[in-house]
Amino acid sequence: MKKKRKKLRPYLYLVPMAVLMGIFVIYPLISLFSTSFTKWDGLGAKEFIGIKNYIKAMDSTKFWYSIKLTFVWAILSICILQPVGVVLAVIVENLVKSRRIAGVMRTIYFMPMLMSMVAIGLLWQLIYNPSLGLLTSVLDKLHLVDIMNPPNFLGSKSTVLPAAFIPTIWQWSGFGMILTSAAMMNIPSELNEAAAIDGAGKVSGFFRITLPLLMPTIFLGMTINMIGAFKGFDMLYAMTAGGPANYTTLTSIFIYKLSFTENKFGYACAVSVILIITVIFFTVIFNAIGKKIEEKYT
Amino acid sequence: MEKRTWIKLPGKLFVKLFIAILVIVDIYPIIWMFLNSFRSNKDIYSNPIGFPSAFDFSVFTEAWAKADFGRAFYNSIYIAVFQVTLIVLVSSLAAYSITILNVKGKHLIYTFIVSMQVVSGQIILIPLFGLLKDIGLLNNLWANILTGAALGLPLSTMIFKGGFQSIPMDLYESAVMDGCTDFRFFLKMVFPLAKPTFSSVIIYHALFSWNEYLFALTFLRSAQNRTITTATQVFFTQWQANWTQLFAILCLALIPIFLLYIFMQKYFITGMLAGAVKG
Repeated sequence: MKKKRKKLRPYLYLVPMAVLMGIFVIYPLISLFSTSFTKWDGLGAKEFIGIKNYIKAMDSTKFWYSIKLTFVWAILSICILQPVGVVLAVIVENLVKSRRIAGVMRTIYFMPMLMSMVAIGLLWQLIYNPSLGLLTSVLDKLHLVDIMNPPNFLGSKSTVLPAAFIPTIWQWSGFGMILTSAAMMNIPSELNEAAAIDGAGKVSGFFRITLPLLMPTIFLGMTINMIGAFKGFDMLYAMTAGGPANYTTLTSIFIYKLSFTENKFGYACAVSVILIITVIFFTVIFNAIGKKIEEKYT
Repeated sequence: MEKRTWIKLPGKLFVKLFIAILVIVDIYPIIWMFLNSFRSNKDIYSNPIGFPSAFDFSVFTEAWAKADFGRAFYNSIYIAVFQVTLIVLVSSLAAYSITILNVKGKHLIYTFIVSMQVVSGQIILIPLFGLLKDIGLLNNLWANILTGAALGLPLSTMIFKGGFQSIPMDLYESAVMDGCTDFRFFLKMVFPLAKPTFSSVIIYHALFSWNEYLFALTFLRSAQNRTITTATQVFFTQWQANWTQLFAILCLALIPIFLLYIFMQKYFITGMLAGAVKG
């Protein structure tokens, strides 16, 4: 009897996790799936309607647009955020001689990471304001815009997507910079010194030695950026509320609006299920590509 | 061999100017926000990027009162404290069983935990809403405490696992032979040895909880249950025309964290990096 209790003892430490996750993660997942086959307004009973919600989603241009936007957002995050960080790290490592100034730069660039996405969205909403915003004022001082007819960055379809993405770059640049700097410090300087002796310049030394060795870290940063992109809701919701005309409505915002503005909870569940499946697909492909790149560079 | 410079820079002054521009461009949004909270709406309308003529701090007390920020602060702190405590307890004990206690089937269990990372708040927002309503926790701070902790468990467990793995097994085995119970070993040996890991998880998750918006928006509907994030956003919708106060409320929401960061910078960065890297 005592032996059995001893064997079961370690499992005791897993019980709190099992309970907490079971109730608040696993059960909702199952419920999500089952509710997706129903019609529900959030208050009354759930009415079983089979796969009608899924068919509705497949037919909906709004839905497909939101999925497309979600993946475009993820790809932008993957392709832009980490490279910006690398460039900044290279600049700081090579052009800044004083350790103190490098430290100050890192402190300042990392600060936006501490802000809530809501605060960032609201602040940049003010920055992009056509008449009173920081951007218009600066551009006006540089005589690049007409103050009588200022561009509406967040209000026009042609500019809203890049405009909405820039705060993300502003936020994550510090993270990429610090991550890359830390990785660069782990690269033994003898490698580049040996290359210099053999006649390689600083530039080719960087591209042929440093950069390949940074690839795993860069890929790690990209993975983090990708996960963050798929979780995006707060910033866009605060900054544009999904507008103009649903142009910045990510699937997460679409789900929220379906539920709490249109009371279509069952439909929203179906959309959520499709979203999570596509995200898993994308993640698997991304990791496979990443593995191939890692093999090539190590 | 002569060392070749990679870019022919027209002097150190150019480099210094370039660096200065980089720094200013990055921090100016925050400076702009801070300065404009001291300027009247009239001043802002006439020149949005001007310098304040006076530093009148009453705008902050006004905005604080209007937004009921004291209550929002209390709610955010309440949620953060309990959520972090809960997640640290639950995930550290779980990681303990996977690493030191060497529970049977640990690979399977750990893989399962890691795979749960893919579940985000948005995905299970609706069923959670329904569940919380059914158990009567809607519009209760504990809704956010429990859900936030539950969703953060995979990542925290991963971080603790990494931290505990470096504790040598002989230490545990000899302690057991001396009659030490598992729990005592955890308290007396694991916790002190893995203190950096604990502080990383605490900082990372405290920041996450503090900045959380979606669940606060969805579950905590009444005005007295607003957190810093929702209170700020609501303030913006209610007082859109009063720019001075909009800037002031952003300052109030952000300056505490910035101050904390400047004093504990090392902890913040290692915490955030640990959280992100393990994820």
